[in-house]
Amino acid sequence: MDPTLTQRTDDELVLLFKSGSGDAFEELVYRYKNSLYQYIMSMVQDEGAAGDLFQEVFIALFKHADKYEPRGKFKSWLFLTARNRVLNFFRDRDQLTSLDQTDEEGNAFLHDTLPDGAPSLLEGLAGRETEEEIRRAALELPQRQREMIYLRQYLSFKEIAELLNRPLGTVLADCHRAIKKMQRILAAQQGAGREVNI
Amino acid sequence: MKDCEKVMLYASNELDGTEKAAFEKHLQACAACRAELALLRRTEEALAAPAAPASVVDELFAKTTRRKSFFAGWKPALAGTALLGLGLVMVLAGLQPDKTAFDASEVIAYMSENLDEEYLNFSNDLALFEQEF
Repeated sequence: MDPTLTQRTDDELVLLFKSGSGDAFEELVYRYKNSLYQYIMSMVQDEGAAGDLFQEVFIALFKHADKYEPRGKFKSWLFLTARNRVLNFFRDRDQLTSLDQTDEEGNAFLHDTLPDGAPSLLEGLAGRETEEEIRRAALELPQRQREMIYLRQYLSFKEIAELLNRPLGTVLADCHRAIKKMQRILAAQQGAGREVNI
Repeated sequence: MKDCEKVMLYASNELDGTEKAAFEKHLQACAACRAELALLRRTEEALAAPAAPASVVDELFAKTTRRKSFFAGWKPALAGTALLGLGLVMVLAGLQPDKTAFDASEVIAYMSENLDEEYLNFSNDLALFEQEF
């Protein structure tokens, strides 16, 4: 593979692929394979399905690259395609449960309800939870919140708002609720752990 | 947007210089924002993307850039079959009599001979028929 391909932008690689470079296509795959696979896996929770959907996304690019307009938003295009595949997957399995549902928890935005100066539960937790506990907590989130937490790993909030076609404020609020929910899950896990230790 | 509402954008480095400086000042005074930011950072680390399975990626390449043409594997076999067929045709052509070079007089004589015989049989039959009736 041409070593200079790694220096190319996504759009340049798509253009090169359109002109017949298979290496450019493979560089795009190598560039996004981990984040895309993790996003899909976090949504479907099934290794076999995640592998199939992951391949479908890149095969869609392989077949329809000519329809891609190079406007510097390849990553958003890729994740949007993946999200649509995930939605179809749930539709096929009659599991379109909560991806686009409104969150049932109408929490006030951020920590308005905390008394001034009181140490929050979050504050008590930070640093004590293990990475495995955090991963488990993320997987316990409702799907809409989980999606937010994972998308945040790869996209800016502005990109997420554009991808999901939601106002930026809504996206920020969703992410905040997700973090608060994780905080409660982690607190419950650690509480249970302490009870076991006692 | 309230200061506390900017914690997510701050974590994602999406605030401009002035907003960022203002939020950092707020952060010094807000324990809740510091705690939330800490959990966000820990979550980023914990959810760092693991590698996609190599088998999935290999399979993808096998279906796209490294896919073999349908006929690629069959080329030697198809070429062999074509040669065999051509040879067979040539051999058979060599063994077959040349149908265009027949002797027309032989055919006419054979047909006439048969015709005469059939005609005689028919005449005999007719004579017997007339005798009976």
